[in-house]
Amino acid sequence: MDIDIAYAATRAHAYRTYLIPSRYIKRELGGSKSLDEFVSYLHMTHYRDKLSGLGEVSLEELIKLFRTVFSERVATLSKGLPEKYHDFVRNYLLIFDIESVMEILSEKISGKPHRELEYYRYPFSAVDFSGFLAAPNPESLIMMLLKEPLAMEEDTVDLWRRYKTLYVVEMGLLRAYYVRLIQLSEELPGEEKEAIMDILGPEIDIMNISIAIGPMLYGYSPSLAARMLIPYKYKVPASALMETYRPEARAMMALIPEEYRPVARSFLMREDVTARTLTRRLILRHILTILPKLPISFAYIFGIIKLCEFEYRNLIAIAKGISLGLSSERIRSLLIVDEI
Amino acid sequence: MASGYVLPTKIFLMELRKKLKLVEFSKRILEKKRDSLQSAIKTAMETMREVIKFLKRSLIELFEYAISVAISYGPRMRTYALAQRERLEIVVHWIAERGIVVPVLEVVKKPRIPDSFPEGIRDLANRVLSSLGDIMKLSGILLKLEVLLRELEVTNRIVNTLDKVIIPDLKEKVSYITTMLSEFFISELSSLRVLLSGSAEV
Repeated sequence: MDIDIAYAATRAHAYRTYLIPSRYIKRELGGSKSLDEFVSYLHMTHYRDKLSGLGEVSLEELIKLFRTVFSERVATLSKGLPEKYHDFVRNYLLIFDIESVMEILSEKISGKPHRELEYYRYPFSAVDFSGFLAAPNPESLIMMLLKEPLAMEEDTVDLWRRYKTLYVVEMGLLRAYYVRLIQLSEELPGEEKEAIMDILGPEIDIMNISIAIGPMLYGYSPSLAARMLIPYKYKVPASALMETYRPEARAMMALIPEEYRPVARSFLMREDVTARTLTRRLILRHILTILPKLPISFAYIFGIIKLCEFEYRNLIAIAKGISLGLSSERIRSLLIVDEI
Repeated sequence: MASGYVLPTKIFLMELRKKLKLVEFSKRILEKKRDSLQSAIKTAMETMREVIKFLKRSLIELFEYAISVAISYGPRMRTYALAQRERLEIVVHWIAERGIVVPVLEVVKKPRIPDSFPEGIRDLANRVLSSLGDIMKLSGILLKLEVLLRELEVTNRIVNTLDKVIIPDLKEKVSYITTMLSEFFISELSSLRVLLSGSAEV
């Protein structure tokens, strides 16, 4: 049964209080020297109930736990939403399925055995992973990507046949994914649509900037890059970016709004990791600006889902960083927090 | 006591003495080898200290960068790594150094980094490839050090076993046989004396 958006938004307000404050993530969790210390700090948060059921502390177990918490939160936040909103959230979450599909495809290409189904599948997954796993070869798997819910464009299959590279397929999937999200956001009421695109817009813009900068830095074909661009303009006209190849990077920078310049600069300096983190921090800032403006709306619910996702990514980054011996400074530089 | 298994004969005593001489000679040679190994390890460590001082910054930075990329890209890192067909090929040459065979690493084939990797992963791959010489150098020194340390450990154990177990045991056996043979000799001498004095009275 569909529930009122006001009820769902109230639930999202409650979930906001479960989120770990940025300062705590940055200082305490990000400064932990061992997984045990990290877990002891996590006991001070809403993860304590789940942690009490955890036996031995290991990276794999912690990642499973974070994944479970994230999936449960998303399931609760999207439960019973009116159809158009629910569709939007379901499509938004396909980003996680795309990562898993790409992993399956690379295993098919390299001939490596697949892992168990649960490794690829999230509880909210909309994709039939058993079908992908059973595909006899990469070609047949790629043909399966043309169907719903991923609905990749046929043009991408041609590009794959010509270039035989994973990147083309990944960009094709992402392009189809963002196009669908843009279409779904068009169906939302005016103010909601604007707020949702305030969150998604920078992500799309910056992805287009990175695609457009690619040929300049790495020398691959501008025509290939042009076919991978997402046909949407939030603050940057993607097609105009492509016309700046012959002039230099400076001409491209002039087209990029001030807000995106640190990200674009990082791309140009080949600091892709920094650029990705800066992009997510930028989106975080947008979300934190939108939340107080639209407290009873779908934009609020979607903002909280994004914050849950960022928390999930932060906790995984910290756990992996600690177990691989990364310094606290490095770990902190990877975190999606609003006050660094 | 080991001497319980010993035959107190002159032939056995001669064999034992030869064995003892050989073992003591082996011990002296192994002690020389140990000293040589210690000096080789010292030299390798000094070289390593210099190399590490030189490489530390760039290699540790590269290592941290690799982890950051892995965290930032998540499962995509594995996706693209699996799809990479060309592999790095390294040949290990074994060369003798001060009587010890140590490995020397040589890169025979560097994989081509495809244009179609995402920017961050491609950049990491290029950085790793350009630092490959340094990585091989450091790995070579560390492997050599490990081989030398293992050889030193084995040599030390053998020298200790010779010094604390085998040589004392042989010495004990020699001393036991010598004592037994002296006693036999004295007893035989006494019997001979008794025999000779008896025949004189007759």
